[in-house]
Amino acid sequence: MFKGETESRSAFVSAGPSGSAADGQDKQAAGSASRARKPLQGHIGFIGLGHMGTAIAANLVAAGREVIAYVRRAEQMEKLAALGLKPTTDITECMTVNSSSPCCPTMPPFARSYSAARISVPMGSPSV
Amino acid sequence: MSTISTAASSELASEHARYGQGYVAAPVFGNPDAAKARQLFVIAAGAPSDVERCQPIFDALGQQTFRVGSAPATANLIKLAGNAMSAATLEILGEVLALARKRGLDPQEFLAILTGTMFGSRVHRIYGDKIAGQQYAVGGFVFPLALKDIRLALNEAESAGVPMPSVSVVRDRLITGIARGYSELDWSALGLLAAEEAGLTFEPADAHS
Repeated sequence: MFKGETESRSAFVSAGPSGSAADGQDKQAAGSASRARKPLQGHIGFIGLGHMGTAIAANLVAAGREVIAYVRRAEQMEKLAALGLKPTTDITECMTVNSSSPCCPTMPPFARSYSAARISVPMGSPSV
Repeated sequence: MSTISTAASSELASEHARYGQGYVAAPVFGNPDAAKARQLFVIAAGAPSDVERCQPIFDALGQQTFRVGSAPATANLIKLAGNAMSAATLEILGEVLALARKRGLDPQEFLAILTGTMFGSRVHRIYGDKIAGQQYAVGGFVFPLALKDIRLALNEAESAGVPMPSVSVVRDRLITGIARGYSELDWSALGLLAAEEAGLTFEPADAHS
């Protein structure tokens, strides 16, 4: 199994505006109260631009991030560029941008390609 | 942020650790509409310093983050359990709405009573509305993706020695949907299958009456 088995339930905390996990259900409106956010710094590599990923990546752009978006089909690039993303068909560009930003690795073999200084966001739907 | 197995998440975590990199599992609850509106719920797990580093990203894409410990796999387990629960909820919504239709009740009025009394969750409201209106949109959370998640959830259950018979039923329903050619439909079309099983025909309501 996985390593979390021995962790106590009390370790679960919520960082959101609504407080505890238990009362998150009925406080949907609370999210709108925390919109005064400082712009994010740095690039983000983003893999997986489907229905969910595209919406999320567009919001990261709106929050001030530069998002390098990997697409498999070049015809997708125009649509993503129109949202302010920087599309690429070269997946390594999501991992080798020279900045301190996070990225999203989907498969273990990619792990070695990432820089520890960067954040990468994998949003695909691998069947593993 | 993908919905993956605990084993895949743990493997990713150890591979990143091997190369001196952090790994945070952060699957989300919420559909594409919630994603657009920054109303997602993020379930995050990883080393506290790594999660903290990612927090500005979570804040930019969701309304709330639940930190569930330092083992990334924990977040994936919670996501898979949630999707199993959503799938089983869609199944029962489909069944009771088929009963309502078969007996001549107005599906929307029937649903309004359920969601306004004991069943007011997001899943009941959002997906109940789609099933009641028979709006099984193309290109949502399509059957093959839903089946993948349910397969992963059942794998977790089997590994843990936990039978999940109702989820197993939904797994077969999803296979049925794919076999009938509904691979492009949103998983709310579990309601379409329930209606078909009841001998009802597909009669979508005018896009919102």
